[in-house]
Amino acid sequence: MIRRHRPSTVAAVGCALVVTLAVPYVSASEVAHPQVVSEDPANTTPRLVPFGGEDRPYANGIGQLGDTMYAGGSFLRSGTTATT
Amino acid sequence: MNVDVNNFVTFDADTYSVSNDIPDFDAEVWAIEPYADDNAVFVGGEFSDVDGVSNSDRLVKLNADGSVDPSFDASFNNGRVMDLHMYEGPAGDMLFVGGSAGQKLMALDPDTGDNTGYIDLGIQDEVAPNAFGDVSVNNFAISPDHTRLVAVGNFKTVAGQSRYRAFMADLPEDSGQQATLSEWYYQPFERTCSSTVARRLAYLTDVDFSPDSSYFVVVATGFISTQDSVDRGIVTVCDAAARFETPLTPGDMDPSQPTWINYAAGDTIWSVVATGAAVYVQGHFKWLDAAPRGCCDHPGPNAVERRGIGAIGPATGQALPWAPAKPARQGGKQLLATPDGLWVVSDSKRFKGEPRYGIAFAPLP
Repeated sequence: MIRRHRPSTVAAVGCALVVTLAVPYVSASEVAHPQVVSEDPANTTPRLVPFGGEDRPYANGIGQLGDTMYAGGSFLRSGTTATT
Repeated sequence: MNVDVNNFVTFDADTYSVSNDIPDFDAEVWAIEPYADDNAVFVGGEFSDVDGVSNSDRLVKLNADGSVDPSFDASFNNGRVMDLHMYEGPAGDMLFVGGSAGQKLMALDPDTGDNTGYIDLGIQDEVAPNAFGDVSVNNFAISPDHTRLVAVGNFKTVAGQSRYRAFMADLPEDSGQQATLSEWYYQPFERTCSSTVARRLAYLTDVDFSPDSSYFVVVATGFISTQDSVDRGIVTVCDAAARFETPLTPGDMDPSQPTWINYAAGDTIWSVVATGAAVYVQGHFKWLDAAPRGCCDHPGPNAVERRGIGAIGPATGQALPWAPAKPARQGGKQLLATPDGLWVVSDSKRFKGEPRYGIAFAPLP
């Protein structure tokens, strides 16, 4: 049984205030940005660590649900990135 | 602190702290798609086992805490799932699944995993054997207005029509009807690029629609365009990104060439996302704005250095100044735009010179 779509997906991004509000779900191609993102990456995002025969680990996919990020690929260890 | 995992990791979107309880996947993961209405996440790939739960081949539904939802069973047992997108439009909520499993592109009930039959297009005839697997939809995108999808991969025929490497489908509003093959077709996709390596032959690698659904961008591997194509004035999308307009009239169904094309000088572009402000591309390239057959140390007079990632102006088709060098061996297969910025996943070890192995986030200013 297919449920009807509930119009809960709000991808309106028009100003910084809206951007900082929690958005429960957005699909990739619906997200509009008002400008180009920063060149400087966020500090302390998780990193992949070569380990256990995965000497060149990689991530293929990532998704967000609420306040949680989910990432997958081919890797056997993750750690915290140094901030420098 | 390090955490031993199996091809999957979950972490807090704000603090970035890694979870302690993470499901184990016994083989490569390719795609992740959230479904907020169910507070769940779909995960697809080549795995056959997730946390020892039965019926967890190739595609699983995870609850928000990472546990497998046993009531969802897509019943795949071979091939691989390459891409997942939730359709939450007028025809109801469905999980669209692309890959080499099953019918290559399917619309599943997000509760049960049953095939709804909304998509059954007859995707057939591989471009070449082992061109990154057999017949496969490697990536696809749903237009944000829910009227169309575009898929790319290893196929030559869709619904009995010639559709090399890419096709568009029209999505009906009525869940009792089926998606139909669009008349839209860019016939030069039938031509080869210069590479003869099997896994470069199904050379279209990814696609994304603009947020307003008015255009879409495809990206490609395949090495440079052939001399024959250039001599004939045929624009082929080889190691390049190309913008096409979403057709509004019958005259748009057979475009004579892309709105713009940006060549990456003979190196692969694997992934693309269009945010309206930019078209971000990711791969193992060193240059954008190259000449059609520019390559390597001779990318062409207008080429600009962009290592592994770049941003293209949606209107101009030329590289924007944004250039956080991100050298890669293979290059990343997904870019995810969120309201806060851009997530980048890959095999790269650095992002703008800073250590960011595999995962990086570029925030909006």
